[in-house]
Amino acid sequence: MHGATHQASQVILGLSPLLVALTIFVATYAVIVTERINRAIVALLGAGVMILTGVLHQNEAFAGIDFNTIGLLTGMMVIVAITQKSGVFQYVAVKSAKLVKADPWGLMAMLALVTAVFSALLDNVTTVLLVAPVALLITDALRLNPYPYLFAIIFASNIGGTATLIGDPPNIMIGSAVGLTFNEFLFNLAPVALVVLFLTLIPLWWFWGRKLSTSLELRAQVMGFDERAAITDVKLLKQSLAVTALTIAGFVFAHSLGLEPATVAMTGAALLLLLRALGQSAEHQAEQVHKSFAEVEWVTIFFFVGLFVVVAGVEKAGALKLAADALVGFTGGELALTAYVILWASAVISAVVDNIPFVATMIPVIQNLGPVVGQENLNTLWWSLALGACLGGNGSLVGASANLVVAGFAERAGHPIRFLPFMLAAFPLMLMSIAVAHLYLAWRYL
Amino acid sequence: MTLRALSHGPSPLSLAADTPAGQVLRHMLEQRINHVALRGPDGRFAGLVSVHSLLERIVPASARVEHGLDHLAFVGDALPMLIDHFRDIVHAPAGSLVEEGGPLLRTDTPIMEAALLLSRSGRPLPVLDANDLLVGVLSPRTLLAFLATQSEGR
Repeated sequence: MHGATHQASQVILGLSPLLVALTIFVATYAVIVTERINRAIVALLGAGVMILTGVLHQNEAFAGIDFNTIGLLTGMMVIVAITQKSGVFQYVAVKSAKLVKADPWGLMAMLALVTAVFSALLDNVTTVLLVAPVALLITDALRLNPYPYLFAIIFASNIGGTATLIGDPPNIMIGSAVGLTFNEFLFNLAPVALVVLFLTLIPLWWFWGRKLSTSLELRAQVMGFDERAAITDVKLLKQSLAVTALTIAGFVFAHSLGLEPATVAMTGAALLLLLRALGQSAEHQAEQVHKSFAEVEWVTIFFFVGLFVVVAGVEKAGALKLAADALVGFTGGELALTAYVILWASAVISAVVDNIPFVATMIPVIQNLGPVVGQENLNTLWWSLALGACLGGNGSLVGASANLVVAGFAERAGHPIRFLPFMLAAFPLMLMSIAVAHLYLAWRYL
Repeated sequence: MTLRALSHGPSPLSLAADTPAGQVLRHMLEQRINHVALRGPDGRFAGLVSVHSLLERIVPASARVEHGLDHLAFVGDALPMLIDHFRDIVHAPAGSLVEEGGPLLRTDTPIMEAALLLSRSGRPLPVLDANDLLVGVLSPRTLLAFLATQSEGR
């Protein structure tokens, strides 16, 4: 996809490369959408078939893989896997609950805020895996229905993830493909993400917050929680916080230092592994490194690898140029209309299908729009895509991996989140957030 | 050799699956036993309720399930919470609190396989006949006693 070397294709049976590539692409995405087969298997198989049929040479396939995205994701996953063992996330969640004196509505707002902040700095799945259990415990102690809280956590994770380069996979992919920096994401998306978060709290208060109540005795029970006891390893906590702070500083200054985000994340991961290994026996080091690497979500990583190759195939075959031309035909190449179409279409599509393959496909499509809308205006389209894809994930339970992770956790804990009731509340809220993003784009860029 | 070779003693007492869990717990405490077999309306085996499975339901779900909290030291004793959970389960039908995922033994299960399953589960296992009726509950103690007797005879 990115910088793939175009070579003459030798597609099997002399078939049209465009036809073969599109068939593989559509078949791959169709099977991914059905969720009948693990998405990583499907993406890797699609990638293999792209090469086997001659649409791509292996070196073109490798060139299509965005190793900056892969490295950034993997590095951050290692850092988070080690950091979470310190108990710092439970500490923050419990401390937040106590700051609002375990008031039911205050707790919901606080958990949403904490989730959004964590999601901006970590990946969304990790964030909800860390916050949801604490939310469930506290609502259990307060004898409250956990559903509104889990709903708020889902929404906040997708909104918070919108705010930064590293918050959500679509942003990582866009930033890496286009060279947008951490600071550019922060300055352009964080303000609107913050506004969306606070506006989202209003309907949450109206739906649930104003009706929630609990007894003073139960609130006193939560106030009796000792957040300091959540910290299980003080040395690890110090190491993790130091490395996380250095890594985030690295993201902030990466552009001026001439560094790519993957370098920053991987160096941070290596540094934290080194700090953990110092003074340990060889066996213990091996065990720790093995455990840390085992925590990496390899399914997601290989899913990305396969997708990048599949998209490289359709790009080389010229399908994405055709898609870009069709988009221009629809919008007349007018910047504002193109931005709005990308924003709303991305949101609705991301609400019902995985936003990662969608964004992987849209990146080269938008790159092809440069000569039409002007290279200097392309960033507006990137922000449209990022806002639509990230916020659109809130539209349904299947809109984002974090949503499904919370739903799975809630079901195991005996509080299932049903698809339709969730969507009936979530989809209008998601549309509201996209309307806010629309106004923001209009006000700031168009 | 299969489990038919072992004496399971008299058919163990079983309670109806819709018996309130509090009543089942009282029975276990009075009889000084750690588990009770449940039977469905058709008389077939419906699962084992144990002091362990009851205790498990009293622990907050947020720490009990996969990807839950690793520890609850920061919660303190939270006795009111434990008592609340205890009150929640005593009125629940015992059938909703059976041990999950435990293996079942059959009268034709080979003894070696039974030994392996017992060693892995670390708790007594129900033995069923071909009609899914409970014929006994095999504990590690029973199996070891059988093996001790057998080894003396050789």
